[in-house]
Amino acid sequence: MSGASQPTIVARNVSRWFGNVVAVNDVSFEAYPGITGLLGPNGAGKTTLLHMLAGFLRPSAGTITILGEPVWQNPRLYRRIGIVPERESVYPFLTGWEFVRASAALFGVEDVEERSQRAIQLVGMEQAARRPIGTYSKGMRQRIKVAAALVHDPEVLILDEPFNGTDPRQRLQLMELFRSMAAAGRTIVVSSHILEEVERLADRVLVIYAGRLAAAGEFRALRRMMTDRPHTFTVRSSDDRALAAALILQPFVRGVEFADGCLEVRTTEFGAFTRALPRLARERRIRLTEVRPADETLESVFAYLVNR
Amino acid sequence: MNDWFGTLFVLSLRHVLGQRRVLLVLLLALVPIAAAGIFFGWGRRDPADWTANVLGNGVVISAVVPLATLLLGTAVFGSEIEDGTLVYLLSKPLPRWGIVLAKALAAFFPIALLLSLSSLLSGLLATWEEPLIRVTLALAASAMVAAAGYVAVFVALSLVTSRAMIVGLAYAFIWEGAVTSFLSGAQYLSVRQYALGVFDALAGLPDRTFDEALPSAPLLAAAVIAGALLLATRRLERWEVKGGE
Repeated sequence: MSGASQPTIVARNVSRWFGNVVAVNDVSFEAYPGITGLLGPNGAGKTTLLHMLAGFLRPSAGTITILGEPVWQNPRLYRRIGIVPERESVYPFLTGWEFVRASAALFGVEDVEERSQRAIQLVGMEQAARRPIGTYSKGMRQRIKVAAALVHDPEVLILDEPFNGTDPRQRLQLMELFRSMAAAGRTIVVSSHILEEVERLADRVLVIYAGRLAAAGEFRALRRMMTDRPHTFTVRSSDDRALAAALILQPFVRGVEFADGCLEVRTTEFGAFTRALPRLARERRIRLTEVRPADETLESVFAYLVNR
Repeated sequence: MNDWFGTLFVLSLRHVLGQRRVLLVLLLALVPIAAAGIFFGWGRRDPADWTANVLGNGVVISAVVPLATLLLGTAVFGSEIEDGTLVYLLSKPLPRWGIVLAKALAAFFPIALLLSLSSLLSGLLATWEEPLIRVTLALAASAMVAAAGYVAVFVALSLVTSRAMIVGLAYAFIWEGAVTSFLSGAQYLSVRQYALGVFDALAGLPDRTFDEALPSAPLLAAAVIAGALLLATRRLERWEVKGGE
């Protein structure tokens, strides 16, 4: 896909600092039609990067162009972009219908009523559209923000944590909507700190950690990279010494330690280890009572990707 | 102006009218009427002079208008920055001067409505026995000039500093209240003096009402309003969202 089409979003050596704090550090990437996931833990710099993509922050260094035009101080470009910020940014006194209708008028679309109706239908908010936004749940506010952002049928959609507060059914509905927009040739950049969300949605992933671009590419390749990184397992069994002796002979085991009545096993291959461990135990008639990954936080995965 | 401006103006007006500050402006608008009522009840020597100097200069132009415009002028952008709705407007393909103008008008109109009524009622009350229509209309007109000037200045201030309320108070009550009285050149940068100049020109009183009134007040007021709105537009064009990661 990416090889055939032109990049819609181009970021070149983009940095942003606030005083002495570097929030985004020398990030370069290209985004194409389809869905690009921006993945990283909270505080990684995703929102700062999205704010720069949306033209709400000026990069301290580097350039960002969308559809071939610079995004900073270029309000006309918003005719072709839809933005869903993470913060509320909704008027609680307006009804959902008034909010989307106002967006259509401010985007300068021709058929305001019809477009507003369609956008509200797309996010499944017809029932609640005549109620004030102040009475909405978090998930409903997210959906009405999405409706307002796509009422002018933008070529590029920038979404900051769009699934926050949505229930599983609403999440599926929004994901389906984004996928159909991507299939129609739109470019969608969606940020999330939840790996599974991005996995289910994005064709391509940018991993941000500590302000740096830790990894970029197809999600499957990234998943493989994450899975094949060195892992540490905590193992308890009926005979830890015999099991340690068997494990240390395996080529994919880098080390075994005795700690607090259990084994700490370091392995270089996640798949090979998890397949071999039960077999080795069975052959030696050892009963496994606990096998637990010791470093499976998303934080540690991101840290590994940055430092590899 | 086309549909986007109307939508923007109505949205901004509803945002302003939904704030509690409007109640304070309403209370402020009652102050001149109360003052005129007191004057009416307890005898007066010269209604024209009292209307010009006490009601006009002392109450309406020097106190009520700056306070009312400070409340709403600083809020039109300030509250939208605080609650994040400014991002909603800035993500639209709107000329930034249009956003500034719609916001300034949204702050100006409620004040203009309330203070013009207040000025007319209080002026008529103060000159009840021999209504001085021209003086009363001059009071209302000068209050409008003051409101327009202050709104423009305070809207610009709200995009220049996060302490717009404090700086605005300092401008209205230290710069205009004190500095202009001993530094004659300072009156050329005083919205109050522009309003007094307009009052002086329109009231048609035999002597000039105010010694310090500026002859070119309408021009100076127009220039300050235009300059302040231009500054606000430039600031909004470069405005950056806060609170990223």
